Amino acid sequence: MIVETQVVSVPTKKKAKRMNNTAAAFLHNPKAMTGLVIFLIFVLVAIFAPLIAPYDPQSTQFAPLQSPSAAHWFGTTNTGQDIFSQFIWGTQTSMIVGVGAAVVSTLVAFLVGVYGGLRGGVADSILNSLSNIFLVMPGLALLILIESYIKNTTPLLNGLIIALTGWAWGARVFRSAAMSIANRDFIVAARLSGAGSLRIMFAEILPNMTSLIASNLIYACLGAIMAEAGLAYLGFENVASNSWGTILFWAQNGGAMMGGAWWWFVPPGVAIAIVGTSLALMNYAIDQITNPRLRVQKRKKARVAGRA
Amino acid sequence: MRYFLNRLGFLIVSIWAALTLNFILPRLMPGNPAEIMLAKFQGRMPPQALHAFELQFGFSNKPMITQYFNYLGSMLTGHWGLSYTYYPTSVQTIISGSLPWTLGLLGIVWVIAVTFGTFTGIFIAWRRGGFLDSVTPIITMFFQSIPQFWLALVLVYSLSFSMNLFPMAHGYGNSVTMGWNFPFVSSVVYHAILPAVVIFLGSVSGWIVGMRNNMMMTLGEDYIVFAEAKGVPTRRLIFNYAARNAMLPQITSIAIALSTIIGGQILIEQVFSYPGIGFQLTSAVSGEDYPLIQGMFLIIAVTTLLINFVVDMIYGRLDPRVRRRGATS
Amino acid sequence: MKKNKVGAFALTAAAALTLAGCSTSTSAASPVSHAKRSVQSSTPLEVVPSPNGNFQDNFNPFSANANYGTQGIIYQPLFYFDNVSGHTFPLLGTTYSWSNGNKTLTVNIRKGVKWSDGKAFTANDVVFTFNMLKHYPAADTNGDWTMLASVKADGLYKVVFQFKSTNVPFATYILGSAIVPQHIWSKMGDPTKVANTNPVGTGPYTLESFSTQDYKYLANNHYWGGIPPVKTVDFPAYSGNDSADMALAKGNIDWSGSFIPNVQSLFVNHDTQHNHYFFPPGNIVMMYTNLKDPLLSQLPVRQAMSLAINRAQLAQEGEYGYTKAADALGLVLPNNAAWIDPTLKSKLNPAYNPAKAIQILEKAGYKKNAQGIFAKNGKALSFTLQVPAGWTDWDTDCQLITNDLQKVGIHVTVNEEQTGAYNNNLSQPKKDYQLALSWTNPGPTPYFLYENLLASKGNYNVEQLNSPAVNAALQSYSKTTNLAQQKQAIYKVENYMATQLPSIPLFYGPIWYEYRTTNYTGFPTQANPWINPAPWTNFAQGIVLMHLHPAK
Repeated sequence: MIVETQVVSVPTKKKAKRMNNTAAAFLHNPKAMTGLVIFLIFVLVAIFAPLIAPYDPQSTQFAPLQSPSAAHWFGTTNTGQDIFSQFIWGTQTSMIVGVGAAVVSTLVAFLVGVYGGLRGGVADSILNSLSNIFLVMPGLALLILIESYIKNTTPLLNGLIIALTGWAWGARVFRSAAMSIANRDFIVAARLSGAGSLRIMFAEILPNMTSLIASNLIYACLGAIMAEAGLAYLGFENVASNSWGTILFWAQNGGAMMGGAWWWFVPPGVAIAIVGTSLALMNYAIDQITNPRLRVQKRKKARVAGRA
Repeated sequence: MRYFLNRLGFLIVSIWAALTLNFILPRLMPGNPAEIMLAKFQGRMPPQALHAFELQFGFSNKPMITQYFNYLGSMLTGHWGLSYTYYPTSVQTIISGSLPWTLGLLGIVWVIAVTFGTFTGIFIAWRRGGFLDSVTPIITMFFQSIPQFWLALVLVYSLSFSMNLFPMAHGYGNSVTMGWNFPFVSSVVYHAILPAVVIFLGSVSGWIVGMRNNMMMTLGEDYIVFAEAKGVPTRRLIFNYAARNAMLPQITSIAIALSTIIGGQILIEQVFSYPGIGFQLTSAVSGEDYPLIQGMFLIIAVTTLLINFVVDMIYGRLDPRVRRRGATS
Repeated sequence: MKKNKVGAFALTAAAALTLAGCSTSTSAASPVSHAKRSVQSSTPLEVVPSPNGNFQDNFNPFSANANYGTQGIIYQPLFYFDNVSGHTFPLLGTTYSWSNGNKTLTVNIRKGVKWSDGKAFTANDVVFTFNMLKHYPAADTNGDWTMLASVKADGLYKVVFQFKSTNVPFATYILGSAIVPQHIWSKMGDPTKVANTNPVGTGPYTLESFSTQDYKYLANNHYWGGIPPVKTVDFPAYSGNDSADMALAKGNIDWSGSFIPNVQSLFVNHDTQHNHYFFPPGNIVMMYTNLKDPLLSQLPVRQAMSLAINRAQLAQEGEYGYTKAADALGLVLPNNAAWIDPTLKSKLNPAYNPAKAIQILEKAGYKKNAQGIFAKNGKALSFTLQVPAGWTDWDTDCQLITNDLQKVGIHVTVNEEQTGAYNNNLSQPKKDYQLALSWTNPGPTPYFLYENLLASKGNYNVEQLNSPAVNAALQSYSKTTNLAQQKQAIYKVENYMATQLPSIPLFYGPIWYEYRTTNYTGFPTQANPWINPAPWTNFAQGIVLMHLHPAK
């Protein structure tokens, strides 16, 4: 929960130039680059999963519970499945779920938040109440509740559910930002020239909120990957699917921890932690870039040193 | 006053929305509780047992709208019905037996995490660019990104199962008697350490990074620069001038983070067989115990909403601007 | 997830039993009688029947959700009929006999039994209990009063049950109903609405303490069966197989009924001298075929399916090798071994022969279509197979079955359903399934499984069989107390199962049972399975407790 400071970031009119600056600053920020590179590695693994995975992830053709070896980098399960192949395919699923849910929930958040923020009045009150309600509903509890009414969910369906229940925080952030620029000259000008709400939202406002959107995408992605893993681990997902959470589900079912089969249990957890950290790093960097005050300035450093 | 009414209105509307959602969802399900129950005991129960179960569960054929108002009435008066899986135990009994465990653990860890995170945030913001400032956020972010149930399992296995350092399960030992006696309290504390560590590691990063960023924003304000130039002592500058204002956004986050933490705790409690509501909710879902699911969800939603309401009130007190903006926020 | 459920279902399964060929005289004496013992150990016995999470304070024997031990450790029935050994254990009753054309059942009541509050137990308590069930049908989950006409006491130690019509095996339900004290329950009101948090029973233990995380039973030293050898029986709550398995491996649990993967390495190897397990067959997992389906109603289709499925592989891979392939007759073996029709010995084990499956389909006029699936008159052999979501071993089984059937040209799509939807699809009058994986609970004789599964009005006749021949055979069994006649009836049904395949038996559903002999010995063993050994088995668990002795 990286707090409301995002709300304060003030979008400006000079969008094109600003975007370039932001991108450049992003690429020069070591935290951002570290995060980006790690994330891209996982994305590449996801894209090329069919080429990387050595075996069919579901095939039970190998000796059960082998520890890692040259043939099976992450060992095998108790039914003789190759965990490395499962992991690679799971990467694909988790990335699709994470990125997909991030896009969907950010889109919903953007539409709800910006529309409300721009229009104000009754529409805004209703939308704002709606997002406040979604905001305070306990996330996983709501997901589990929904899972109890939907059968046999796939990771993709779970991703969609996660997205449709997890947009509220973003909507609130977008709304505040939209309210702060609703009366700016360029919005008023666009409105006077007869542009429709959607057009204003996407042509005028969206470019001014890139950092907010990026930040929201990153958080939604992290949230979705974690939530999907949690749901799958609890068994609220088709257990035949390939995802990191499902690997953990089977590992727990097969007594991996007790039996000392760490190779079965460790990779998905560590992978989620690494992807999560890469996303958090990028977000942290974006905060720093878009909020000049968050940048570490030499003057202050000198001052602190002087006092200490 | 207008602000108060506005927030109260929101509280009521959102509780009503939660109640209604809660009413609709189970009724979309196939089968009635008596059939589900009978099917569970299939083979043993003669067909007549269906009749027995229908009588037991008071299965209703009344029109939906009547059921809805009856439901609203009984929810508001605290009659949440009887659990299917623990019939004839009432939903309130089950929740009141387990909620204190969840809230107790959650509340304490939460206070620790917020306090620790806020002070750490203040400290590293003040010493920005220092070693701690560059390392702390990254390390805590890493811990926040680890799935909490996974961390919990790893800790249980390594520290409890293999090394015998901590208990493997439960909220207290089986040999102590519940009550305000030292063996019981110390047993509770001992059993709470591992779950608490997991929840703490999973939530502290947000407080640290949030406070750090707020603090740095505030430290850049003119009045701070001015105060510093005027020679206000450092301690006073940090706490009375900067941190006070920087903490405002933290307060809103507190309530919102609560819903996330409750979610995480569901999984953690299951790992530790902790006697809170977490495991009960997942098992109610697998057991299709709708009255219990409804009650659990409602209590979680209402608790979160109430805390939000309280936080809004505090916030309104601390920041007069919010009160004036009233209706819009 | 499945493992928990099996425990929960089976919790009550033990009540469904039969009169194993009981003749008109007396019931078989308990094969292992309650030995009077004076040695009592104060080391608590830790019991985890199933990791089902927090407990609720409910010790009402008429509630399906009462805590483990309510039925058996606190309350007792007249007789307990065991479905694993087929033995009958007299508890509050001593003997029973039939008269009046097998419509009148007379039970002699044990003398010298006291309720745990010191009051004497008499026939009046029995009569009161049954009349209460009549007055509150919601409590009568055995459906006793569907068959009973009246229950009367004849003096203090004899009870006479009058049946509406002859139904000898139904006496199992009646004699197996828990009896409660009149002096307490007459003031309780509706017995389904009470939690009965301070239970007074006739059993070997009383409730010592309760919390949602842990409850304890304390030995009732005035128990009619003697002084219980274990002073305190402790039931701690566990939320998942994981935590229960770790506690078991650590030696924190003495008697468990939970599933554990790789039981040898994760449990036994931690202490090979004291840690033991034994998974007797508890039921038959079958692939149920909806006989109202135009394709599945054809015998060759079902025969081909049965021949195509590699049952040994299901037992080995899907079920961790914890069980064996089922026989073709619908018996639970070795529990029902005494009932095998000698002429069917050769057909006992279902054949695995994919080539023959293909032959049978071709002979029946089926031809492979473009997709390689057998079809006739434009109808391809393509079915859905329903299974409850999250029952992981069954999910594996379904994958294996799908592969097996695909090889012979039968296409199956697995549908994982939420348990409620799955139950509903199978149990509603208009069945909404083609193939489904499920099981039917057995009793001490094969009659009970057959009655449930095959009788037109059977509780679990989900395949919707309506066979006059089977109905007549089951009917003739229920009318007689003569073992030879009963066997003849069962043989007929066995033949029907073997030749007509109304449903396809796959493998035996195991009863999970692990025990540790560090503190106590005397548990049922594989070599001597004299009773259903799982700690969740109602009434049996109280009998097992009385047979333990402190380890030296």
